[in-house]
Amino acid sequence: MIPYVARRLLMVFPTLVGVMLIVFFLTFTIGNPAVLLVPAEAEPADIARVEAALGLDQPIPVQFAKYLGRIVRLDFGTSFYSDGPAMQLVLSRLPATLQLSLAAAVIAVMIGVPAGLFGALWRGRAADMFLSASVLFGMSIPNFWLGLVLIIFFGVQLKLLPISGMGTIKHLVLPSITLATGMLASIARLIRNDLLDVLGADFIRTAQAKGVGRAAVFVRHALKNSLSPVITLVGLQLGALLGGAIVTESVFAWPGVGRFILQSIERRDYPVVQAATFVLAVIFILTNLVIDVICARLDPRIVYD
Amino acid sequence: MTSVIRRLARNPLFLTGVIFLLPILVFAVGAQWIAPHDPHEQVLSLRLTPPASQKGGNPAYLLGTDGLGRDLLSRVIYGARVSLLIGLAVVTISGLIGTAIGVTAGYFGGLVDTLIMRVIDTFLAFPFLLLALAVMAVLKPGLWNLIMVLALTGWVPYARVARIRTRTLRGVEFVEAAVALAASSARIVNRHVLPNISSSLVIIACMEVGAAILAESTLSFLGLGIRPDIPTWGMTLNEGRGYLLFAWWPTTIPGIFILLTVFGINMVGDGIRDATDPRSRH
Repeated sequence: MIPYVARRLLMVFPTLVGVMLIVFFLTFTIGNPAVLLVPAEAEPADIARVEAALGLDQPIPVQFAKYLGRIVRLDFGTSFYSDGPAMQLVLSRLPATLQLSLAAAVIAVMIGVPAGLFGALWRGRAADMFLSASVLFGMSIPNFWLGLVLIIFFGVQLKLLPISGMGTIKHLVLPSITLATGMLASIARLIRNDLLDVLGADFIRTAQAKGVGRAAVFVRHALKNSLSPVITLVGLQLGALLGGAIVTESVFAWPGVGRFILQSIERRDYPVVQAATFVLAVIFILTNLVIDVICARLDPRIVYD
Repeated sequence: MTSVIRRLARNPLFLTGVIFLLPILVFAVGAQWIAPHDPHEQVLSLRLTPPASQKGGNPAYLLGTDGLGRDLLSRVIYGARVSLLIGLAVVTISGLIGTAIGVTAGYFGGLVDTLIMRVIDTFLAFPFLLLALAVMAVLKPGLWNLIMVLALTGWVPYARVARIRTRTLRGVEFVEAAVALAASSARIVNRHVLPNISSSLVIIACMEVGAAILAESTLSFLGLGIRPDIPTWGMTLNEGRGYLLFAWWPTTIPGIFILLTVFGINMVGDGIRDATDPRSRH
């Protein structure tokens, strides 16, 4: 077990280095922030002075070497806009994003799992058709549009819920529903299809032949076996959730990392874009590592080699 | 093949999807003949006219007008053209890239496979939207730039499936026989591997058309799509956002078209999967 975890931890590093390479490359293609920081009537000499102050006048390989040296110490430099260190600015917005993503994940699991379960139980009947069609519908809804429609209906017309910002539990309702839909549909779909696969397996027939009751076969044999693919999917969907947070947060003015990234891309604030991407990638990679370890514990068929 | 077509013709999902998609296809092909108005024509005196079914509606503007007095129906009809073009182009390009990468990894294995898997892991760890956003923020907005960005972020699902299926095929007798007969790698891949994995890839491609259309509308919504003089669903929707508090139609209507199109595509994709997957024949 421990060697397995150690090996998986080692495999995290090449992925992280890859992510940082992409981030570095991207921020260099975004454009020159010095031009945006100075007033429109600035002389080229002023722009050059700002570039020098930000270290943007050095050759790209030198900048990359410095960048890697700083990342090892988790230092992403100072934001070009507000004075604080980029990493701190990002971390201060992280709790808001985690709260939203967690709420969305809980909604998705609580509704998605039973929906998939009943779909498999009632396979081929009208109720299953209805559930499958709803799932497909859920996968087709544009996230940002759903957010706006919820705002129009519950916020503007019914005046039931706040439409922007963060604070009370009421503020959380619309954004978390918006963010949850895609994940909910994917979970329901996976559970249904996976359960149907498992229900056709030989060991289920054996259990039925031994006279095990229908409910017991379903819960003890089938459900237990489709647990690990579901947990794995939840982990992979987290990436989509963090990405979806960019859109959802900007629709609802939710003060999290996603909205901050979008603003920082618009302002060419490299240090913040780099720090935020790094934080999101680390969260994603570590969650999936933990999930792999949990699955390996749950499923004796996974070998720790 | 004929049995697949017969099964498709009886598949309710597939048929419903086709019914959803037909009008969109007609819009895309015949936009200039079908659209009642020029999608760019601004009639400022008719700004924010509600849909004809609502109070204050104007029968000449069935779905109402936007904040600049442009006909929403005409904008949506022209938008179908852009969305379908982008969906199909992205899927073709990313499908080719992904299949080539996945088959290479699965066929050769070893170091090549390890390297490619690391690259795939990196792409999976990176919220794709962020990548697309950052690249679009740099590149000049434009149709082909957008297609390339979406293709560059969309190849991963094909690569993963192509890799696993190729790896399985590598150990199957008829591939081993071809190897024993000293067939070249190119011949084995073309004659034995690709025909056997193509149906899985086609099913992914169907799903990805919908994903590409959603991604395009998301980027257009965030203001990072194609040029502002081409009416797209995402952009029309974004322009309506400013009037959200007193006019629901400029945001709601383009979204309904995105939703119905993607829903139709997903139904067609599921229908094809059911009709070709041996496990679902009961």
